[in-house]
Amino acid sequence: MISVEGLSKLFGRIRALDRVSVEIPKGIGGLIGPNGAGKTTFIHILAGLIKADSGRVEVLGMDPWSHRYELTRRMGFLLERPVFPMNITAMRYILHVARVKGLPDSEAVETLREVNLLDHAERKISGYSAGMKVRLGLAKAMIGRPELVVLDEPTANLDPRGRIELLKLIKKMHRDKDVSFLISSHVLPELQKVCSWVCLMNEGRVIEQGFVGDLLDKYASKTYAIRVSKPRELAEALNGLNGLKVKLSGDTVYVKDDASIIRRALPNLILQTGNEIIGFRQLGRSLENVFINALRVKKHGG
Amino acid sequence: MVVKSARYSSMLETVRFELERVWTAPYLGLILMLFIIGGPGSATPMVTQESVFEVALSTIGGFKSLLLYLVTILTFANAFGRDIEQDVLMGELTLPLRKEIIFAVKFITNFSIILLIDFASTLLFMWIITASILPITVLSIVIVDALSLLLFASITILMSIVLKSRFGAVIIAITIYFLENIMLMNVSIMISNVNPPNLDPMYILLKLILCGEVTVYTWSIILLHFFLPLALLSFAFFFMKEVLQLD
Repeated sequence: MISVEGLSKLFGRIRALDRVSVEIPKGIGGLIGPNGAGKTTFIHILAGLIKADSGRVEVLGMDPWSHRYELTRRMGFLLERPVFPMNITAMRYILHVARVKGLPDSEAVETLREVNLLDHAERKISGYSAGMKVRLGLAKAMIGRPELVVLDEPTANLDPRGRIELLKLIKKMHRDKDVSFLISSHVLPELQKVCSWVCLMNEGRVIEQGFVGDLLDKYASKTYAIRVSKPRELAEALNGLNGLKVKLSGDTVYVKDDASIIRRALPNLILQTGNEIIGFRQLGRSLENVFINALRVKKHGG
Repeated sequence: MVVKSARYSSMLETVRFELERVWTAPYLGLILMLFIIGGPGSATPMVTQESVFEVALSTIGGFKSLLLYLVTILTFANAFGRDIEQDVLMGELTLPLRKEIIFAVKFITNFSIILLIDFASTLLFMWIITASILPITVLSIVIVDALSLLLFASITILMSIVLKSRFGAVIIAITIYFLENIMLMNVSIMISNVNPPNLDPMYILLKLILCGEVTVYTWSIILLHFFLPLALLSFAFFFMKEVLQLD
């Protein structure tokens, strides 16, 4: 969907993007990084709002700077801090977007219903809360079933309930309408819930990219926490296995080693010790951990 | 054919939306009210100021010219500078709208509205003062206004886009307005002995043209007010299309 190679962008002396190369597949992708990582600049280049200093960018097979018009017919954008004309109603605004995209007016009504704004559609946008404005921006981005929707920090102004609703909506749009998404955020647990693929950025550079499952496997800790009904017995049984480091803490047994040994041996050991599994998790299996470790690897080379 | 009709309708929709967005009823009402207050000036250039009444009208009318320039400068600073400053243009550019359509719609819509207001107020006060309407006179006044306003509209648009700031654009346009007024006043004094100090120099030029006193000065000023704005508008458009980056 998006192919970027050697992309660089300078703002005066500040290097916003530094030789960024990334291949973003179809599906729900995430752009992860702290503030100042270059995510917004990257998205503005994808939207054709700014021109790259060097490098190659292709979105849906086109260069966004020279084919902005063609791309915006096939894509939707929700920029960070979306700004709308304040003295008109949300319905009028979305009707405008629909007409500009050559869609029937009914699409505007349907899209406002999808983002739960239909009941407030006749209110002026100036009276909208920050969360409602984000949903309106989402309606603007999603109207007309685009192939790709790019969302820049969409959950930044939303309360927890609004965030959950938004993530559900994104999943639904992807599942029902086959819309691909690229979501930029620094709230990593949210992205982990919806994204199948992520790109990690820091200080204008890509530090890692790939499918979420692969990255979690690569960077997660090799320690497993096993909560069982008889932890002491299980710890003793695990100690008998070669090469495992076992630690008991309360009702949880921590085991550090290759995942395959534990997964292979654990069912038998549970049965032998007459245990019941209450919980099992791999420590550090989160995008936060992936980010920290990937950054460490990038900086120190290992 | 399908693409053409879609583009045409999206342009019409953009014009409608710009009108609804900017020229709301309260805003339009306020401007009309101001023009009515300053309106007599739009008719007075055609009147010989002999009576106290006409002198009074002419004095009030002095505001009209200034008002017209200010409205034009502020309108275009808002249409371009504010929209760039507040990221409204950024939002527009994420829609399938060509930059040339956005530029043309913003310019034509706002300029047409200003000229329409000018036309209406000139017509009204021409009728109040002279009890008759001379279409050619009203049209001449509006054409002169259009020419002089075009210069300030183009300066404001260019500065808004280049500086990405409506404040900067307004300051520069107003400064040039006063400098130009001083220059025109001097030219008027040079070429004419009919120069009531409270009349806009552009009207004096119009008066000279209507009297057949078309000299090298009048021609140079007319050309300046026609070709310079076109050049500035062309450059502003080029800058917006090829150079302007929104981040």
